[in-house]
Amino acid sequence: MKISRINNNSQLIIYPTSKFKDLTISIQFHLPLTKENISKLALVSGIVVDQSQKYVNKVELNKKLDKLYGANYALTRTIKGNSLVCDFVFNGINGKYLNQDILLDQLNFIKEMIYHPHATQNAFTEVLFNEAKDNLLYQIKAKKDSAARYAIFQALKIYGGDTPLAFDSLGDKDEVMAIDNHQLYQWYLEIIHNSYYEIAVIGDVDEALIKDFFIKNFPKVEQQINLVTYNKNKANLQSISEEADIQQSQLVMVFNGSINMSDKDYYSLAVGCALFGQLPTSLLFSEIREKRSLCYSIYSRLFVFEGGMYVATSMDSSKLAETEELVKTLFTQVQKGEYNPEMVKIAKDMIIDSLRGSYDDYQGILNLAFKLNHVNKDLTFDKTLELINDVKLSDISKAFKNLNLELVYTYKQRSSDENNSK
Amino acid sequence: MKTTVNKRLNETYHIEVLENGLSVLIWEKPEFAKSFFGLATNFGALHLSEEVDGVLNNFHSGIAHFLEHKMFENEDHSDVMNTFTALGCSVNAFTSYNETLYYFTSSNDDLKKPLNLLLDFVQQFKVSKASVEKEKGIIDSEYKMYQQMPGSKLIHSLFEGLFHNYPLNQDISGDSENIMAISAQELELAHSYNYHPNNMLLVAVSKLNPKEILEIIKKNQSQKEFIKIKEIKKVFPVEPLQVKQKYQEIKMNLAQGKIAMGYKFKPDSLVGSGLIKRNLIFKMFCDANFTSTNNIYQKWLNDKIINDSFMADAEVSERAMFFLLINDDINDNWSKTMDDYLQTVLKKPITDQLLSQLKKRLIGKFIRDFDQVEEIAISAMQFHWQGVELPEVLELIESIKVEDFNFIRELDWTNKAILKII
Repeated sequence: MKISRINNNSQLIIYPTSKFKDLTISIQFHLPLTKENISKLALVSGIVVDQSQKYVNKVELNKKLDKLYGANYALTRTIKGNSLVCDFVFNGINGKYLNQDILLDQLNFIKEMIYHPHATQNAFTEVLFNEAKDNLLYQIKAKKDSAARYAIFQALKIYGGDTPLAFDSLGDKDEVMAIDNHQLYQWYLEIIHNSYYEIAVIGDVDEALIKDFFIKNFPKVEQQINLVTYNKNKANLQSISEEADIQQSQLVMVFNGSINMSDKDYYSLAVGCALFGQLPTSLLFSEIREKRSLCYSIYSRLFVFEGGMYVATSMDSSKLAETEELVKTLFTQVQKGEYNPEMVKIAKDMIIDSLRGSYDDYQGILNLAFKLNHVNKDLTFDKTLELINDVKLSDISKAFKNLNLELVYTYKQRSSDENNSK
Repeated sequence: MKTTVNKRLNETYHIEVLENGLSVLIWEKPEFAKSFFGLATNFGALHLSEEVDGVLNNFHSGIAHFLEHKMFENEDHSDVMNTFTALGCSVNAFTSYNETLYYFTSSNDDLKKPLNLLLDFVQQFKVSKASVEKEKGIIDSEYKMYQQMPGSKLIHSLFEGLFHNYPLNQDISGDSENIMAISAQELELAHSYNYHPNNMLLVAVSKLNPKEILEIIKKNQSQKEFIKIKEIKKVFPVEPLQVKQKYQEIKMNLAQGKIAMGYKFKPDSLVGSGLIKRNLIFKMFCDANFTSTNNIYQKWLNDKIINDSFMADAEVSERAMFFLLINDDINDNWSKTMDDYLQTVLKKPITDQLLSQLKKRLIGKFIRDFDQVEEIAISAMQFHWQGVELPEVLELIESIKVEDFNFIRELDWTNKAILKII
């Protein structure tokens, strides 16, 4: 991976490799993480990848993408620490498999799409703006139709309080409705001209041409990234329940903690989380699904930038109380180190295997680049593997003692009495 | 071992059929960290009846999926997943309508043990009566989980409306009644015939030496004995040409309703590459007329007939041919608009220019799929069942002509079912 600074404070990361038949170009703009920016970015993402000044409608854009042999172009939105990341990702075939040199055409396409949105009179084209707004509002409304996703969203909203953990990546309905087209257009121009950005290119490419293109065609930026991880304040345990006409009840248990991915104890927590609820051998899976048949799926996830962890599962309402107690018992067992020590080695091996496999897909490479470039700047890939290998059972106990259960959220089947009375 | 080097795609693969009938396909991927090994049987959710050497066996729906769940259990009730995980491998399986695939991935350089384990655990039936009873709750929970997902429910219910007897009208997991009725004896019967090497394929996509991989497989297979079977003939129920239910409305208390329309046609008599080509043509027809490639898509968005969830898909197989339209919102004019538009496009042949554009889209996607080991393995397996080697599909795409679309116009487009979920 070759990293160079270009255009004042921007970074260009090139991962030269001949193993992929496609070329991936990612351009990530970093914005301050606010609720307002999330809503605006959610709306913009439905506008700026749909057409441009040159490709004035969907049909023209499709023609161009197909001319580039079914290239994909998308905008993804992610929250990384205190940054809201607006990531334009292009995937297109490497011209050498077509005996054609299309690299410059691919690069110019990306430039056109980012820097020449379809606009008139200092606003996005009205039809496009309204269409994107309708689609986004529809997605916000339909959120409740997926019980599992809704339960996690609600749990994080309650647990997160006024921190970004409570923010919904789709944005806020009232905020989205109130967004003005002219203001949104100005906001977008400000991002693409003044925000810190980072370019990553993965594939078998002419590195000099790539560098030259981005220096000549992308703006100089003064802003710098200052990635901050943070921890949520501790609070008392809450149990909150909501009922709906659903077939299976959802259980989400959220644990507060202060170890995030920039912390030296992070890998102890990551190995602990893997053996607690991420592997087929994990305590949650083997004790709750395999031994007791209480559910089909149960897992744990870390809040990597914020510290903390949650457990999610779904099952028949009659099994909720037993499952909740079992999760608590198994969590205590990890804190006390009361499990087969062989599980630690297995969890470490599986995390290392997964990290090695990251180099086989572009998303894995981008995530690794971000981590090593911003979060753990003093770490190399090999040093990361060493840190994982060094984790001991006692380290996991210590890391898990840092976690406290703060929320038990259930999204329950409405009781049959109520159903019958309807 | 037959070796094929495809210079255009820069791909090399090897095929061998062992003495016991097991087909082996080894794909070289020297630059990838991760290896994929899968053992597949041509036994899926559609296969509920079969004639073995003249004797007819009938199974409950969901049998293939139930078997997939139970194969992971050792005689001592421990889980094979734990053994794979201890060897540093991620193991999983899936059941589709046509096949069941068991697979593991790993970045390790020595995969002799997990490869032997894969062959052993899939080929040996060791399921107890008690463990079958215990598994029923888990599978029923999985079934209910999918029933609760509006998207899954929509597709499943539409197939119920289209088909009287063809098992596509059953959920892959079966329903609660069928799940509860499956016995260990029935599972053993299904395993003994359908997990016979004659009916199986081992697919490997790996950086490891193909000769060494083949030697491990050969040695493993030479130590096993299988029952002698002359012929397994899959038996399918007679399916009337007409749809079963022209209109259905299902209540799920959704925030946003969903609508779908399915057209059922007389199945095609083609097999192998002819059938694959027709599938590609029908999917091109969908892209040409029902996506943003066509100007009508924008008009429908503007008129709020559809939203950006709208999709069209088609399937051509020996026993079923259908075309689907789906939208995540209900507009009263939707069905009529779609029907009227179909009448128009069916009279209008595709242009050379549009065909050329859509071919480029398919070619690009096809070549880029070689960047993922899982994608190669699964596609190679699916085409293998149809008697076609994966790289041949590129030639099929390139051979498509305007007149090849004529068969679509000749279908009976009046035979349809409509479904609403509210």
